[in-house]
Amino acid sequence: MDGGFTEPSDFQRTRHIKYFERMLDGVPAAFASQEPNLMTVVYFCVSGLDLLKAKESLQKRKETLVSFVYSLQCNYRLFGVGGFYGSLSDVSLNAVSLQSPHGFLPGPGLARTYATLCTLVILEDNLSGVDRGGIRQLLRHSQSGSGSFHGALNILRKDPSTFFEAFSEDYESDMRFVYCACAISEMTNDWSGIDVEKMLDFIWKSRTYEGGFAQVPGAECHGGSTYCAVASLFLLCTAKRKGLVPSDCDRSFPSLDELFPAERPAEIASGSKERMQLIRWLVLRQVRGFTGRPNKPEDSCYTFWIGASLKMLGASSFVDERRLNAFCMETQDAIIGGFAKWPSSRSDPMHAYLCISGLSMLRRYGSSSREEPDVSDEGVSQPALLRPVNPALNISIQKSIKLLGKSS
Amino acid sequence: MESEAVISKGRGQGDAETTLDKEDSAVDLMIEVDGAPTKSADTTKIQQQQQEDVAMQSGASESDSEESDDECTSILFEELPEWKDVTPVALVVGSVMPIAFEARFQSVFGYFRAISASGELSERGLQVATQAAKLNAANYAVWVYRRKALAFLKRDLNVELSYISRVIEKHPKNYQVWYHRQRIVELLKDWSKELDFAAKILKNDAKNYHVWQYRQHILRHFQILDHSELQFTDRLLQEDVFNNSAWMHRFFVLDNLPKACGKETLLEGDSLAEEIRYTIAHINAQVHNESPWSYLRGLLRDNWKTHFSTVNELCKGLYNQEHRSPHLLGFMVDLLDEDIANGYTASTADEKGRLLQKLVEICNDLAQLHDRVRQIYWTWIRDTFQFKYHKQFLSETVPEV
Repeated sequence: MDGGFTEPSDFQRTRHIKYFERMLDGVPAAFASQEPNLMTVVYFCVSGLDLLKAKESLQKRKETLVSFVYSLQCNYRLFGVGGFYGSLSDVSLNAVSLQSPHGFLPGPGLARTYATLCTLVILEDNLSGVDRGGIRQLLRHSQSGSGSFHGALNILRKDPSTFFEAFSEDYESDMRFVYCACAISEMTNDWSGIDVEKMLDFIWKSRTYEGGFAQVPGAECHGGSTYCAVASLFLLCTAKRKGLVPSDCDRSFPSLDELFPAERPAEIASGSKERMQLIRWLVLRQVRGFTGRPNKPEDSCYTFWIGASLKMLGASSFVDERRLNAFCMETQDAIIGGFAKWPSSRSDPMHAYLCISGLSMLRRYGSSSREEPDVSDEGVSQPALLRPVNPALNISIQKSIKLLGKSS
Repeated sequence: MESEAVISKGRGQGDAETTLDKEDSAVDLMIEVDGAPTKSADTTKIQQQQQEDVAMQSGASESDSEESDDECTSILFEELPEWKDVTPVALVVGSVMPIAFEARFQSVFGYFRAISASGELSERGLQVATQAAKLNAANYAVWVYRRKALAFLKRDLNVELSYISRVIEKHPKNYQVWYHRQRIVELLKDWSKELDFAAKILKNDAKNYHVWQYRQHILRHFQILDHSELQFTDRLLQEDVFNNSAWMHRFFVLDNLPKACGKETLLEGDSLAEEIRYTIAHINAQVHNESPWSYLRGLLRDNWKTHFSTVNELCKGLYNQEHRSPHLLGFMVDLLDEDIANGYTASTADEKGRLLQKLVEICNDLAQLHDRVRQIYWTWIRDTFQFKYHKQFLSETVPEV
């Protein structure tokens, strides 16, 4: 049909499994700068193995991973906030800091808490060890006056023996952390930590004339921040339909129901002006792979950011899967595994994971063309290469259903 | 106070203190070369002398700048006498994803954690934070510590500004360093260098998201937005008309400038007409550039009626010159929709029917010829409009198109 395309080389499932396994078993010194956010890299690898259906690999590591993850939990009863640290260095620092009256006490953060909860859900932990009350407090302390969220908290010792206070102004706030706050609320099934109307105000103020969303109001709209905004709105819409947030929370803003029409088939529902402009901006990002902004080069991580946004909007059929797959295959490292940002660069865990989770939404990897994909791997005549991802949480649909039930 | 004692102990380390000054003076020298002297020549001379003295003492090379960083990487804090009163806080290496840290990294962060944990706010603490930032500028705790120590020691924040400038030049896409700069500038309440600094970083990558976000923050926070900012975006667009960030920023300026000069809006009347002319000139120069087309849509948001004939002429002209850019055609779909809905050129159902036919034809051409990657999308757009207007025309009892 289209001339000039060669068939993509094969998806190296086994190599990708080995790639993530190797990462979990240890990384070279070049990863030292990732140390403060180690938990996020762990999540990429664990979720990558889950989407690649490496059941045994996860089973073998489950116990170690779960106890590692829980060792990062912040002590709510001590500090008045819960949630998770990004790495063990914060934990070891706190242990020593507590001994001195003026010690610096790093607090938990939203991205780490999101990555941690995802990891636990993927490992089929029932989250019974998660301090939900502490997470609610974390969210409350993290939300800024503008409705946005700060990335993390510090803990201040008000009185040398007992009283601690969390404060957030040492960390930037933007759409990334708005998303984390929503995903955390979805996974803990508790939206009371968020001032929803303030948050909606921030999200809609960050919408640009192009129809997508920026990290903060006034800035350029971007594939990553657009994903964060769309997923936040989508999760909020789901929560609204479940009655977890007030049904009129969006009365002063563009309607969530018109943005995500519930009736099927969503593919042909047109909906609000905001929805139409958003879809246009998203579909215009495809060259072969997706770009994050107009007139920028394609980048494999947008396979997820843009693809998942379209999926939530019920518009994933607008993606030219053949071209997208061809681009992604050029970024694949067929020898050591993983995917790179660009065809000429080196693979890294973030691009490897986001490219794989993006690909999992394509029909050729086994995702159903319908918006409600198959739940089970079993009983399918042609077994799927990948588990399809839940586009709003970025974990497999299978695992999210185990946590939340079918409705999300 | 216990911490006071710790701090004075820290201050006693003269070497540490001057080493830090030495480094900062090197930054000032560099800035001066760029034409923005920050200190008198005399001060610089004294610091230069200090620098040389310290270099002699510590055996380090003449300039302990980041460029010659390798020279000192072999020295571990464990070996330095001025640190012998501190026990480093070792990193617990986990059972998951253990990192094979280099000895230098472990040493620096071990001492950095020790200083953070004891709450010592000192010159030597700043020194270890500087080393830690060199190894990992993305570690937020390093910057939190710096701000605390700088405030406690009442350090000259202009010196810190010079230091962070140099770090940002090395790591222009790092969230933490830009945030640190923002906080320092807010404390200084001196924004005089900021717009030039942002412009300088944009020279290397005119689409760097962090810089734009920072620039907007400065403009808003200090309320210093004025018309020169429009000229700035114009200059960047002259350099690269495909720079979507510059287009976005231009919109930000137009959106916020009125508030700055006490006007209602710049997005109406003569100023809007002028901005539309500006955009059209850029479209004519590069018809296939998505950015000005989107920008034009942004300008027209609630103003289609007033400027319909202008943009209609633009599209007709380009279309008749055989331009078939998907961005032109996509815009024409919007234009035809506006026309059918509001009857700018067509009043009768017959005329509207012809416009709808044209819209359908353009969608088909996009799907089949000019924008095949979005084949299904354009087919959907076509069907959506057919459905919308078919229903409308039927209710007006007009024959089906």
